[in-house]
Amino acid sequence: VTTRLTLDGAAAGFGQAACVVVLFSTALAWVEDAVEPVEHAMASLTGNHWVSHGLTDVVLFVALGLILARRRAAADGAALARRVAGAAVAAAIGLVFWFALV
Amino acid sequence: VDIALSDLILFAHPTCGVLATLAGVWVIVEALNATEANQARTRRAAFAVATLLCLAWILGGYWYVTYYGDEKAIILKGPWPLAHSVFMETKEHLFFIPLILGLYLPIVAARNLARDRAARAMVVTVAGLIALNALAIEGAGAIINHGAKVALAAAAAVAPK
Repeated sequence: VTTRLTLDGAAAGFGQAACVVVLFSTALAWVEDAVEPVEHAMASLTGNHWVSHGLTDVVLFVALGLILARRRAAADGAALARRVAGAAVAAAIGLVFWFALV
Repeated sequence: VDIALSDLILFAHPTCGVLATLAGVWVIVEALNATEANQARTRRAAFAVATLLCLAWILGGYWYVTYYGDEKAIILKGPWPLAHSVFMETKEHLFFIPLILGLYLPIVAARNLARDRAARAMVVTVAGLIALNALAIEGAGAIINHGAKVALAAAAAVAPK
């Protein structure tokens, strides 16, 4: 039985994309909340800024994931898992602090 | 019993979230005990997580866009305005984290988890993050509900009899 320690292809590409998109999503929430014209611009895309935000996240995740997956670069599995966890925790803390304190 | 469509959607949204959380825990258990025999079951569970999170997004999003405006106005006039300004604002954006992770989960769960230690660690990490985020979101939902409830009770208390 072989034991792989690296991730490649879609698992690596979409994992890296998930890191980027969860952080981007929190940054976009901050900008939408702080800059009214951005919120209006997002709302003009679908009729509601939150709907546009979610669709932007999903489209970005798919597009970035496909691009990164095609590079077929291998990533250290444990390091990528730590990056995904770090990005998700940082993004969540960023949202909580922004809406609770700012 | 006369149940409005808005109430059905409102109840279906957290139900999908709870089921996604349970499916996430199921994925963790399968991944920690990964063998050649349970691969198909693990992939089905990961797909269930993604599907249930997408359903929670669509149902919650429809309710939020269509009905939440009136409830938001009630909450903001009540004694718990933080139920909207902190908990709803955080919850509606926090949801995108488990959504993205949920879409990623079936991709990494498609690997042979019995042989692929890196994929197994990633599956456990991602499913764990989904479950923790979803629990926080369910808690925020309960606070938002309570914010509306105390606002309505406060309005009823001052209304002329």
